[in-house]
Amino acid sequence: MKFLRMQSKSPLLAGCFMLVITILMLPAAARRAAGEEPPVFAIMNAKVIPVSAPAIEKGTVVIRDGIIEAVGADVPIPGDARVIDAAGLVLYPGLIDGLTDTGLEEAQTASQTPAPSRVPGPPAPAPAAPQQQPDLSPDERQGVTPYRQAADLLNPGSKKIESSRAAGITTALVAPRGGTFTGQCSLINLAGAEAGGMILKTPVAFSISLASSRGFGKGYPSSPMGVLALVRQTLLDAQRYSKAWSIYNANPGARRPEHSRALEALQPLMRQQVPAIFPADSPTEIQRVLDLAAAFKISVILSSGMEAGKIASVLRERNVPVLLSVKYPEREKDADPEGREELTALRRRVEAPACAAALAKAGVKFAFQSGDMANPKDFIRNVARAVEAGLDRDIAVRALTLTPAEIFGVADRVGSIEKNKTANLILVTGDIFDADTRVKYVFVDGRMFDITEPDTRRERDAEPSGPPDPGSSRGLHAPQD
Amino acid sequence: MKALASLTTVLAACAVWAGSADRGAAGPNVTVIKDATILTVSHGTIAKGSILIRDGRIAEVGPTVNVPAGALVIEATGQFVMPGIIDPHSHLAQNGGVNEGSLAVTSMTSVEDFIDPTDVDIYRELAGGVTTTATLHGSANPIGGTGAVIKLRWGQDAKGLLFTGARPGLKFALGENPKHVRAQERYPGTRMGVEDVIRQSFTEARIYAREWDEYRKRSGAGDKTAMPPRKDLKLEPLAEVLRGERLTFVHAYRADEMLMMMRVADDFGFKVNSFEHALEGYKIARELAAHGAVASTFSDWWSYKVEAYDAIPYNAALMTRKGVLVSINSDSAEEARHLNQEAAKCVKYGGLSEAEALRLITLNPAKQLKIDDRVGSIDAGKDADLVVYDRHPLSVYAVPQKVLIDGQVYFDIQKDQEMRKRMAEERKALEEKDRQTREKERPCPPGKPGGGDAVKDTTRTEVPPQGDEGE
Repeated sequence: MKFLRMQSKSPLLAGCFMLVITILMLPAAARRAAGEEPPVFAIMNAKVIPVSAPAIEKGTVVIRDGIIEAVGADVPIPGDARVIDAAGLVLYPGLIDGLTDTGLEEAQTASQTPAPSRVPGPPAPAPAAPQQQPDLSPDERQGVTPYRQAADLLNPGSKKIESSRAAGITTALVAPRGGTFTGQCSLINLAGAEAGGMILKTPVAFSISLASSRGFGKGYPSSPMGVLALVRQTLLDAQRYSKAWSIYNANPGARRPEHSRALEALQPLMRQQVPAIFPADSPTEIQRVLDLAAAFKISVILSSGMEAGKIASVLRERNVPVLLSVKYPEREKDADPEGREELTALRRRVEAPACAAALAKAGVKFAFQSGDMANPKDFIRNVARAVEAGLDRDIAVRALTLTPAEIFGVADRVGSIEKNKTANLILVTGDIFDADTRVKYVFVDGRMFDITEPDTRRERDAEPSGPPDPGSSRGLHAPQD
Repeated sequence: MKALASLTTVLAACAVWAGSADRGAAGPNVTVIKDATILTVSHGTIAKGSILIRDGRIAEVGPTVNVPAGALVIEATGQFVMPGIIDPHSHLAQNGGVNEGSLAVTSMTSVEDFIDPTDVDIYRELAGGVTTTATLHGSANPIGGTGAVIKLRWGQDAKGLLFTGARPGLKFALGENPKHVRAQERYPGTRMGVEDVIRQSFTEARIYAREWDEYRKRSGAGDKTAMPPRKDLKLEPLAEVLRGERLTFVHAYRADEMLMMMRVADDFGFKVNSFEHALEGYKIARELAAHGAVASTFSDWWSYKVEAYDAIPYNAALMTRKGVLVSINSDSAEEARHLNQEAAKCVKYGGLSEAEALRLITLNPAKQLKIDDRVGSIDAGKDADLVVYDRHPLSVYAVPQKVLIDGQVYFDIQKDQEMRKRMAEERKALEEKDRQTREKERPCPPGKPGGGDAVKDTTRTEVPPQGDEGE
């Protein structure tokens, strides 16, 4: 893993990186032979917070082959289990980050994740450079890449996967970045030797950015108005696309429509089979998104939502879930020291943590997202600020676990501690929102990661070819039976 | 001259955010403004008269009106009431970028999508007597985006600001702005090119409209193989202009480019609704009048670029005398706060009558925007959009005391004072809460891991705990 981390820092070492990828591509049988399959664990004496059921003061959870086999106060310990005495610790479901680019950030730099078959050489060109895609008009060419899937861009060696996991995040919805229709989001587990094994579900949603990142003079669209016009035109084109093809298919003699990769990819959105995630913060922005969604009859998930509390009743009424960002606005670091912060900015900043409570009060379904924060440890810390600002603790835990699982349609697999669910768990030293609480052990797909050692550089001693071996000495911090 | 009025509004505007209960709350549906000097703009001045407002409309205006029991009475003895000012060209309340300048033609963009009801300039302009404004796309390209007409109902949401029933418009721009913006990378780079882009676009729009007509004909006749054309958001507004359904607002300075645009319009069979700025309009007043184009200009704002050098403050008066419908616009959130003074300048330069001057900022822009059946003068049946001034509005000392839209008081100089007090209290409370939050985050017990904390705390210790209280 140390080896991998070095690669990611330097795109020039892409060749070596590919060697790693090749090793990661070893078939499952080979990995099993190497003893990497998750063994059987029995976590004893922990306070268990199943989320879907009342807390168990002193409970046992048995994990087998990556799946939760048993949960309860009185569960027999299987003979083949490795026992972890978790007395004094609290067991939560693994946390879910509602939206991030974790695992993609390195894949989308100059050294794009190369195809495994490629021989080492110069970095491959961006596989989905928007300008090169055939579309209906030149206006659409830029930034309309709804066919990209996060799952295909995933870099299992990403440093941020490791640091997020150390912060207790076991699962994340990741969205491709860049352009306007940035691509399709995938729900991933934050551990795995190869990307394919990490995917929980894909596509979960389309990601549509309304940011005008280009700026004045750098091509269309360069303004928020232009971006919205592009979105609207693209959705109109997608509507017409399906209509044109159905006319063609039903009527010999009709002129044949042109094939479009982008418009083809958008059809599940137009048929309401896959929702779209739109970022919006102020009530005006949110209303704009809701209007757009209503006009095109697409289902929508709101992202960021910093001021969503002000329009909570509308969100509740329309049944729109929110992936609420906890990257709260901060006072400008280089602001004029003599200057007075604008009242609107002050209000936005001070009131931001109270948004979650307002959403909860109105009955809006919401999950937390890290919002691309630099330090994943701030994720829990900032959710704790929402709790301080009035959010119920249980709802807060749910918004980190079962609620996002529901929003993403995977509540039967992750998000709570129940029999037959994926063994995504975290063992922490106390109530998750207490300032002193530390994450000690993280289980992803039944694989154990020891987080106790704060120096991450010493955390890994496994060979660079795969995830840390749960049977290695790192696990020995836990008292064994 | 501008300073006095704008100082007042700048101060007043600080007060905007306090309690929403005061912002356009539903008052009684009958209001009487009593014993004011009423400048009707359409039918003279009533030296001492009253206005009866019912359900947001002017029900009666005259020396005396029937005051129903329970009516809210605004005593206005010694004060002046005029119609709410209509600003036919601004970029108010937009957060969509104003310009999509990347392409020569961006008629697919819409200002209406990006109305920002929290823009503090709404309140500032309201305090300057503006009740309606046309907020337009910028002038970066020969054909810009579609605009929106809004009423300054401060406190309402974006949709609540829209002037329902106002006809949609489309922005065009001639001259230096469209040819200079990205002249190196984007066609056009000359006035000739600007004309070409506009002609080319209307030609495309004609073909587009024809394709749709043909499709409708075929599918209407039951032809199942008829393929619907692509709905093109860029060409739709242009096709609407060709059908006479959409107003054209053409940013222009020089006489020659205005003549060019009128020829283009004649060739394609539409009317230029208005030339915006039109600083050289006085040179071609007869041609403007013959075409029926409105000239929306400034009183004496000039020389800020080469094409604005041939401006004269007599422009509005000269064009008025030649039969051109003239309005004064602000194009600026500052200028918009004293449009009454801009109108007054046209009395000084060119000798317009007081009524003619007031019409430049009320009835004429209402006609320009085709909303004169609703607003622009004090007549029974029109929307009760009114400004109560303490002095004659053409005086530099005049300050709006109350501004009503749809019969509701949206600005009141007395309440403004109270709002400022409340806002100061809110700020104090927020700053205290902020200080407490930071205080709580500061202590870092020894032995507590987490590199991120350490870095942040180092920064914090450099800031004195009371650091931001001495502002």
